[in-house]
Amino acid sequence: MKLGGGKFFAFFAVCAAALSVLCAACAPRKTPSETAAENGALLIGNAADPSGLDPSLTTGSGEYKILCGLFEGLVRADTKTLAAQPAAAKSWSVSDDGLKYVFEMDENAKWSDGSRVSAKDFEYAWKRILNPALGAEYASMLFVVKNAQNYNAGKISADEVGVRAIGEDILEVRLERPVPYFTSMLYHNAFFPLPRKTLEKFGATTRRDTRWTRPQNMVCNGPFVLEKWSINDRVALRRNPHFRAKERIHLNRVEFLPISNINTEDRAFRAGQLHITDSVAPSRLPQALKTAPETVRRDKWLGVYYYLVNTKNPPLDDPRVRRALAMSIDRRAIVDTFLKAGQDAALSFVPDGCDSYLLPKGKKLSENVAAARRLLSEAGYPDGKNFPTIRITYNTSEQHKPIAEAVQQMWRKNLGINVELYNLSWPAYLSARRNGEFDIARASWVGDYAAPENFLDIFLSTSGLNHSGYKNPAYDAKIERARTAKTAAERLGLLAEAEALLLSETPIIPIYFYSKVYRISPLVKGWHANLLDHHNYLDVRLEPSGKTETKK
Amino acid sequence: MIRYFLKRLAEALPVFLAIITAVFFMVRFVPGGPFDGERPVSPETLAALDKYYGLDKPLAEQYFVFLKNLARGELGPSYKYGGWSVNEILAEKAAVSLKLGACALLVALALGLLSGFAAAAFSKSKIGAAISGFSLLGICLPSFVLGPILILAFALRLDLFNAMGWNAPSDIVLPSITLALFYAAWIARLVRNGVLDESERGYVRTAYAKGLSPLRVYSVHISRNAIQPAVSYLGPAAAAMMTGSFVVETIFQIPGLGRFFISSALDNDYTMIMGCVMLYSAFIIIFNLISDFLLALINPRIAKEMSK
Repeated sequence: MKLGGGKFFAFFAVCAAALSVLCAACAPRKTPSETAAENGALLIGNAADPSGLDPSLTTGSGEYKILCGLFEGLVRADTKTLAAQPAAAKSWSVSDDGLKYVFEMDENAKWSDGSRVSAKDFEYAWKRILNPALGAEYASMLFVVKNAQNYNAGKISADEVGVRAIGEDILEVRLERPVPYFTSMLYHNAFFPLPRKTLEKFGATTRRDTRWTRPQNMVCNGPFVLEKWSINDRVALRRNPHFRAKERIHLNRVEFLPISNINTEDRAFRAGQLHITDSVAPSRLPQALKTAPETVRRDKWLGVYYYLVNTKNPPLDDPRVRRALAMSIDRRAIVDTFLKAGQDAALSFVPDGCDSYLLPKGKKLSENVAAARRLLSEAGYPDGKNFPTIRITYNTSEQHKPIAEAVQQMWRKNLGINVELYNLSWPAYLSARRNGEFDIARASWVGDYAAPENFLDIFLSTSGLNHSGYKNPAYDAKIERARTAKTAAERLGLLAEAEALLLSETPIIPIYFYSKVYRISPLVKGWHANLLDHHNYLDVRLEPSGKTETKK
Repeated sequence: MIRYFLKRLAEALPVFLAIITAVFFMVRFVPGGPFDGERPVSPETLAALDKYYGLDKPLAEQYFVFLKNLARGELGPSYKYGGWSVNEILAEKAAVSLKLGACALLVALALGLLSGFAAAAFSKSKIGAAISGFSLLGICLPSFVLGPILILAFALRLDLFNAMGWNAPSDIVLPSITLALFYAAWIARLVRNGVLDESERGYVRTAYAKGLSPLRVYSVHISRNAIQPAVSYLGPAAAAMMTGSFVVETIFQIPGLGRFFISSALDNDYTMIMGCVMLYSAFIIIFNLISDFLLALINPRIAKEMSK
């Protein structure tokens, strides 16, 4: 039989229709997020796979999100205010000189195997992360503890480190210097306790690649325990029956889906496969705001996006040149054109929200093209003449490229200088930054805790993070004096002076302050915004009766 | 014939060794190391890490340790994923990619062969032109365009499938089609051209002259020879499909192997890079052998060549 053209297409059309009907018949009527909500399972988009789940060894924010469900430290952050709340420790006291903290452990705090979380578990964990043989990248977080740095450098023994369990109930911590924000540092996973028995069973005290973090092996003390960890697929947590404050857990499960592609995540949310996304693509934001504004959140986030200037190489070794560059960027235009979420333009380095820290307006950078031209002319480059071509180095990202292009155009137009763009992979970019092989490098910093020191310490001459080559004894002295300040006002005043000095010499060009932009299903209740994007899943609930946003 | 395959395997071994040796040294000359992070690591910590993973030893020694472990089937720990060995990750992820790849291969074969023969059969009519046009479109349309279009249509609009993930049995449908279409289009073109080329040959005219029906001429005489280019193409194509596609796995959030080919290189996860390269090389060698075997089955002349 010869199939004619018309019949041929009709045959295909019938097949396609039949297939559609068949699929429609077996298609689920509820979206996966609705079904999950009924089962008390919260589905969260997590941009990257966790590189590990050992609290001493992980460094990323994606891992931190998961670890906050699995563990809790001595204190935990109130997710509304970020104030310290009792957790594994039920109370604590500070000595008058601010150098000694004494924590009293909560006798109800239990590991998921039912055993008690004792002060010794903290001493063990803190000494483990500092153990030089382990090579923990975040050991430096603990350097505020007395002798911690020397032990980590292999100069002294673990016994001399300023953390000591007195019996099961008391943990005594001695610090190198008074640290007014010490309790907020304790929210970080580097300070979490560890189940010594489990670690030793798998030989993990000084080994990095043991299996103690696998679902069947892991013992933890947070509201949830690890149920599943499949790379590139999901990390699933389920309720910990031994958690000390069971009444605050309203979820049965939390699942983290490592969706690296921002568009895939967006489609997953729109198809009802996620309750909370990690972010929203700026290109998708206007549409999301139009169709389902109630699902879009834009929360202030303690982070800054900036350009790092290599102060060692001419012509950027001249502070006037650096200032001119910083003054001739239209930050608002960058935010409105590329980011679209109303982020704040950054004319200083420390974001708002660190205690009551405030930099006076007159001390901030300004945007003034005419003044920038004058500065450049004073530096010997009138209208950009004879100014060598400089390079902006950035790591591969859909976001960094357009911003670099915009800055390139602004500098060309406003100052008459030539700028090249240089794109590198992440490791190559880090290597270039560390070795000072750049003129201007894209950079960002997100606070680990809400204190100005967390930002300003970067530019100390001794800081390993200070890749700009900026060294100023006057700056170091101000920060040092702030450390020993008697009152909070004195401390914050000295820090503001230091920041003003930093901005006047401009080894950095701040561009914008971060906002956490993400989508959240109306089914989720009790998910609070805070500056550190810190969530511990306590008091969070799912209300299946809520109106869900799908297919928009 | 068995001798031929053994010979081919013996030939493949030095190639395989050359590939892994080249990659082993190349990845170590890439700037940055596996333990680079934004936060600086103290020299002591870095030294401890290098010592732990044996990266402090001379490169030549590291290479021999790697070969020694390889001989025992040990690929070592992943530097990126704490507590996971490369063997474990490859085994878990390859299973997913194999399943998706096998499904895509079937779709590609079915679609490619059908439309290839149809395009040839209707080569003089508009249908043939339309099929050829579609297959050209299939080759040109990248999967990062096709995938989202399929999701928009079948997941977000029609609500027939999930937009991403690897949970429900139906989750395999859209990614298989996305992955298969490019290969199906190539197969279709190869088959169509094969059939049209063969139709002009003398033996076809002889067959018609003997009074054989067109169906018999096509199915027995022409098709056997016409699909040979497609079968040769299937070797590398199947290897590529079975080892997973970075783009398709990213678009559909599939926990397969494809993503590791890119991510391990970006992370400087040396052991994982080696694992991926070795697996892919092995697949290429194996699937090329399979396609040779199929060619020998189809064409006795080739079998005879092989037996020499």
